[in-house]
Amino acid sequence: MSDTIQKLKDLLITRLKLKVKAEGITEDTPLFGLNSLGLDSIDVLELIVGIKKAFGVEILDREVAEKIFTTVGSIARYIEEKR
Amino acid sequence: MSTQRVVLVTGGNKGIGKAISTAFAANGDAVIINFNKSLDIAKTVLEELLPGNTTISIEQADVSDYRQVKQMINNIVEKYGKIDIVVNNAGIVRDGFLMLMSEKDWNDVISINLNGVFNCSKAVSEPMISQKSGVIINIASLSGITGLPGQVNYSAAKGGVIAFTKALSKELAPFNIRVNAVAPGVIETEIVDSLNEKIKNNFLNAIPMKRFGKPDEVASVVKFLASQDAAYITGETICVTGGLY
Repeated sequence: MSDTIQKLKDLLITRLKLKVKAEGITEDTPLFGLNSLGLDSIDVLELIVGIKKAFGVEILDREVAEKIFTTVGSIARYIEEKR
Repeated sequence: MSTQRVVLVTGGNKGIGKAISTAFAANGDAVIINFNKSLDIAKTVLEELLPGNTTISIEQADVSDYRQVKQMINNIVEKYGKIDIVVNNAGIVRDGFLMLMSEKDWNDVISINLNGVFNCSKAVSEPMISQKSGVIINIASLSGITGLPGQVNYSAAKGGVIAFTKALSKELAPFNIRVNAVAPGVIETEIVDSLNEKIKNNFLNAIPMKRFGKPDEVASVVKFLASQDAAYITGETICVTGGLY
């Protein structure tokens, strides 16, 4: 799990060009809203493509996306589950 | 990665689709001609185009089936490492007045002409977002703008394609992917050939340019939209109708 989290943090920072350091992101860091990474819908599309490339996990269903794109941890858990 | 453009034309073996495949092939692009049922026709087109361009291939897939479409796109990306241009051209006509139109004729036209555009665009959006480049061109119709009697299914599907084009262009613009549509009027294809003389003359009288369009005249607009000359055009529908509205 920690490997996945680390890889996901790198993905977020490099692919979405986030101006935060990996240490500043935890499992519970929200993706949207207050005190979040401040992602928008375009970032989500970018992230979906990045997750497919990095982990081979496809996210093509809106309900699944809504469920897992809440925190860094929720994405990581889904990736672990599907890999 | 090769600078040769990789182009998929759905329903690229007949009528306007064939003219589009031919235009890209003549340009030296790698062209994948998609077909569903007409393997013989696809093979004939392949043989016609192969001498001038060795990167032409045919791919069978029913555009109304997402799994088949996804497999086709995967095959292309695996073979060429990218996909630059998708022309959503595959379509069918099942004309009839609404009162007499079967549910099947309605559903078939929506499935292929509208859902097919959804399926191909969805499947290709992932590699295009990844590439940060791409062009999607949807073949709509004047029928989708003005509506034509006896074509509620076709008009609804093509009108949907035009609205889909506008919406998707906004979604994908941040990723350097352009989405446009071309709306042909009455074009000299098998469908028009099959009309009786009276109907043909009625159309001719209504067309300000007093002639039917040629498939090549649609293909040249598609080629333009796919080119860098159209680099700042997205969400647009260009009518190729000889002035008919």
